Amino acid sequence: MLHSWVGRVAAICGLLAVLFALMVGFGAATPDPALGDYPGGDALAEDRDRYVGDSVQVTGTVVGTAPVEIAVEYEYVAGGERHGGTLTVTARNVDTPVAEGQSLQVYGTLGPDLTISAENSVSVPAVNYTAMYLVSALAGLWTLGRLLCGWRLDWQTGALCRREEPLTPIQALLARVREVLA
Amino acid sequence: MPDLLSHAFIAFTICTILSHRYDWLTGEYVTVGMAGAFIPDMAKIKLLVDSATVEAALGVPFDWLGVHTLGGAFVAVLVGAVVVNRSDRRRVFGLLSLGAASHLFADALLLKAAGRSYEVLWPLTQYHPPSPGLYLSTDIWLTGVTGAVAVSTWLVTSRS
Repeated sequence: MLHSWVGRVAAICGLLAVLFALMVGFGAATPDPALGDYPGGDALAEDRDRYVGDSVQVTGTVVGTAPVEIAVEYEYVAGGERHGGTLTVTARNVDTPVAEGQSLQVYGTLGPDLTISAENSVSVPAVNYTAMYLVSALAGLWTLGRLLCGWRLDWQTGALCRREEPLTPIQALLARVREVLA
Repeated sequence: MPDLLSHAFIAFTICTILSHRYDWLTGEYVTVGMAGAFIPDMAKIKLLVDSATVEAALGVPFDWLGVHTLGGAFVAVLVGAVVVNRSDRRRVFGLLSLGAASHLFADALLLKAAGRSYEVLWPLTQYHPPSPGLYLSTDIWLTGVTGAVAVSTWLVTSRS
């Protein structure tokens, strides 16, 4: 069954449908503190009163230091509409020194008015996301390059096959340079 | 882990060490392990289209992070196994699984305020295992360390 284009495409479509179903199931899960799954920014934005007195964990950017305030980004869907924005959460008893612009994750008990009595917090220096994405893209290019050199698509069956003779563009280039220099 | 490069380095190192024991595990197969390490981070597609946007458009609950779990990564690995020929299927399945598992495991060690990681075993359980909190998701030194280990492993392998 999996030797032809048709078989492969059908199997891949089936598997992607299962993957989609898993993502739907994952999206339907609600926080469960008993399992260590604490409500976060999305849950608080949707229904903050429900979690007053419960343990919560939120992550946001520090926007104030006395008292500590963090801007927590959220997104959720209610009534078929997407809601997104930023919640300002006040964190009391934060024992780690923080500076504005840092990212801070706070775990503690939620009080009224979006105030968290912190039991623990983790501060993260401001990150250069552009640099991080560039480094990740480098990893993608490295792996994709290796994939193209070692594997090829068999157009008749739609299969990825190992090359009998892997491509060695870097060695070929070095050899060419040596030839030219010689 | 701060970036995909660290995950790629880890998978490269594991597969290269295994290539000492398994003669069939050539460079092409090492690449398959590295590709496996990318699978959980397919969830990063959320940076382009966030989960709530998909949910509102389709009218059903949805979260891209479903692929950053045991179940989601397993199904994605099966897609990879289907793409190759039967003779390679078992090896590719094993190596993609290894790469994806190394990624999920490394991310389960991240430092969190609540001391718990994420639902790594979902859909078997929603349980968040305790996390030892070895590093932050922004610790760029990790890329250097995993890179140095990967290069050392490669040097040792290419000499032997």
